[in-house]
Amino acid sequence: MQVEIRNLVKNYGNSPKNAVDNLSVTMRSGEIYGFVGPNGAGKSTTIKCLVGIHPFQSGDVIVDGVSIKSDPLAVKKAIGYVSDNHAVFEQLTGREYVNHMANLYKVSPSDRAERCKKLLKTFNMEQNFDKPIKSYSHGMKQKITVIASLIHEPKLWVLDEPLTGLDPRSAYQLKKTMREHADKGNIVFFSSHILDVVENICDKCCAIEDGRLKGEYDLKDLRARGVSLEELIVSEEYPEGE
Amino acid sequence: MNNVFNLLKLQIDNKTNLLKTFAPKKMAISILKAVLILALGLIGVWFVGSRIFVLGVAINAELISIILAVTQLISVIFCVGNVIGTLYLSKDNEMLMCLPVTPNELFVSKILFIYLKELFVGAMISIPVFTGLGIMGGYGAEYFCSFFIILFFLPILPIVLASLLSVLVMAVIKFLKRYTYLSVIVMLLFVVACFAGYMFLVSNIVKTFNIADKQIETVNTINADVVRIGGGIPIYNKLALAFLSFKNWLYVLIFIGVCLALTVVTLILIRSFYFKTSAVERQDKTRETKGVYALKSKSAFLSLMQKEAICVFRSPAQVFEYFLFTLLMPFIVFTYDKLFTAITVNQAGVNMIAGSHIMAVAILAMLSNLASASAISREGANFYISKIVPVDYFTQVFAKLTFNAIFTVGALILTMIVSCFYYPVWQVVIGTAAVAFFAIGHAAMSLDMDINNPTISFEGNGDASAVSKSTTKSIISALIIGIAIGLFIILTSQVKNAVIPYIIILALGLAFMIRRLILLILRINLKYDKIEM
Repeated sequence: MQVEIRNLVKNYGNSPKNAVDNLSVTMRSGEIYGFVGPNGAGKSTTIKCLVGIHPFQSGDVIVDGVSIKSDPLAVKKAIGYVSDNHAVFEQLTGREYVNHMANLYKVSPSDRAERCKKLLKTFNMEQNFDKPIKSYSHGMKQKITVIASLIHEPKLWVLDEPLTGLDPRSAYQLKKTMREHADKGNIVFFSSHILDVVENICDKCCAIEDGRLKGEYDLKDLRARGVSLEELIVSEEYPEGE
Repeated sequence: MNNVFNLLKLQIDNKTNLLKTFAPKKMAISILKAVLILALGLIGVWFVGSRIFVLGVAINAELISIILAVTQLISVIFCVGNVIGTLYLSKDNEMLMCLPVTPNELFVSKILFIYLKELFVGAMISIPVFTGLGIMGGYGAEYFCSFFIILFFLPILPIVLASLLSVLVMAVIKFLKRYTYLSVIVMLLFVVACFAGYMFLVSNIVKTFNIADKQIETVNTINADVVRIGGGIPIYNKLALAFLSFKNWLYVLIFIGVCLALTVVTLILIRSFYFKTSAVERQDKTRETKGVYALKSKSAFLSLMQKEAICVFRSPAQVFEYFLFTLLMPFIVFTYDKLFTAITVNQAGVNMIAGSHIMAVAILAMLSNLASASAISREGANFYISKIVPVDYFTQVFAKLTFNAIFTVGALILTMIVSCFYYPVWQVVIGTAAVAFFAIGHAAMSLDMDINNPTISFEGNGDASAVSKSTTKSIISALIIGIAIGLFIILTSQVKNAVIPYIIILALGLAFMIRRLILLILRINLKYDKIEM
């Protein structure tokens, strides 16, 4: 299993500047891949191109050998996505929403029941599953989108700023779930501003700035060398003497 | 006082563009729309009125009194919804209560908002009706001056009554919320009872309308009944007299005084209920939904349709907005047929009625396509889900279209059954099929417009049609198509073989539907993937 973002170029409207400019990243099975960069660097745009929300001008996204251009539905079926705004259909209950998503991803009733039970317990959502989503707090909405995104056991799990707004217990559970998901041979790809988190849970990470790849890091290697990701990235952003 | 006006402005700007001075283009469009509706209303009143009053039905104080009383009664019914929606169940309560304002300021601003909303809706109905009556009755400046002054006081009594009734309705809602199935049964019984009562009422009124056979006798009976009933309505008879002469303005002053006194008493009574109920409603949001069920598997198409249905039907504002005319279609058409077949005197009139019948049905059916015209915009921030799921865009769009079509075609079938009592069965069946084709084609066209130009940055529920750029175009095209169908039937009514015009309209409807569906498919191919958030 391999996911490849190949020479991706994305431009909004007639903007003279590309939001994502010739970006190439390769992720392999079993990896948690962090995606860092300052505000407006192009992280969310890249993610939106990766999951099929945004069309792009050139380049490609290849998931397990299948191009999103040639077979978008097959690629989308392999992806689970947690958006940064956690928008969900507020009129539905948590159960209705998760069930709807399971229908769209054609998950068998036995699989959805089993996964749902486990995920609800993990994220402590059993008591709220039958309540209308409009009554959920921000964190609960986030958790229900996480559960819905995992209901089809995606090979590639993409999360955009997933830890923002979560309580400590849920944040811990989410990080644990990310690790478990990668350990099953899947790929987890997430963006974050919190470098500590990226450093602690990721196997690899890449930094992006102005839509371009700034650097790609093997965190095991960095740890072995005693180099802090935070110091590395911040010092590159603000070199000494400036 | 400044806080009250700021709060009021906030609520008004949240609901309408009419006072958005900072967005002059939006404001101008909203004002233009209101003026257009008033003008269309006046034309409608003139069209209906000229057919009725030409027969000899008199325009007098008693008739004005009856119309005033009926409009006030209707106002009370709708105002109950307005009071509950604005005071007790409004989503903005939570946000507004956090602002640095006193509870009384918030309460007063809410009451003023209710008043302004009622005044606006009342004006949109009353101005065409009473202006039309004034012109047709040949009344002078005295009438129009009186009407426009009294207009500002007319919403007060309905608001007072509705405020008191809403306390009772809230208690019923609170009780029914605990029992989902009971609430559905009560709703169904209520609708059936309304329909039965309505049919009974209209049938009885029309019994006296035997104009086709005995015009003078019937008109005399109607005039006598109007004088008897209108003269017997206590408050409104005096107000109607004030319309006709300034000499009777003492009644108006008494009316205003009584209204204001009742307002003060009512506000004192409901003030504490407002704070108590809105607080409970805010806490109540976390109550567990009843009816827990297992995770059942469905096809993507059915699941998408179910999602559409749940999202619309759990939002009363959306049901009202999209399907009001569809739900009312059998009622409106029944009334129309019953009344006009009773007062028609010659063959030309019969032909006119058949044509305007199909025109009314077509317009009402196509007005529900607002649901399609805002189908993509309505997704708002959730639109990304449409892009990430492994379901092709055709299935997603056609689930929305089918959901809309089911309601339109369902209402058309009900209307068809009602219409079969008044027109030849072949005419009704072919006419309904033709309208159904046009309505589905128009729904496809409305969806096409929304895909081409969606407003998906919008967040929230219930007001999608207000922000979607396609809804106005959808309404205008519905009116144009409906009028064209009606005119075609009227103009071809003299053809020897009466079936031919209907066959032509059926073929045109089918061709229109096929063309719009093909264009929709092309649009999905061309544009859907390019929609960005």
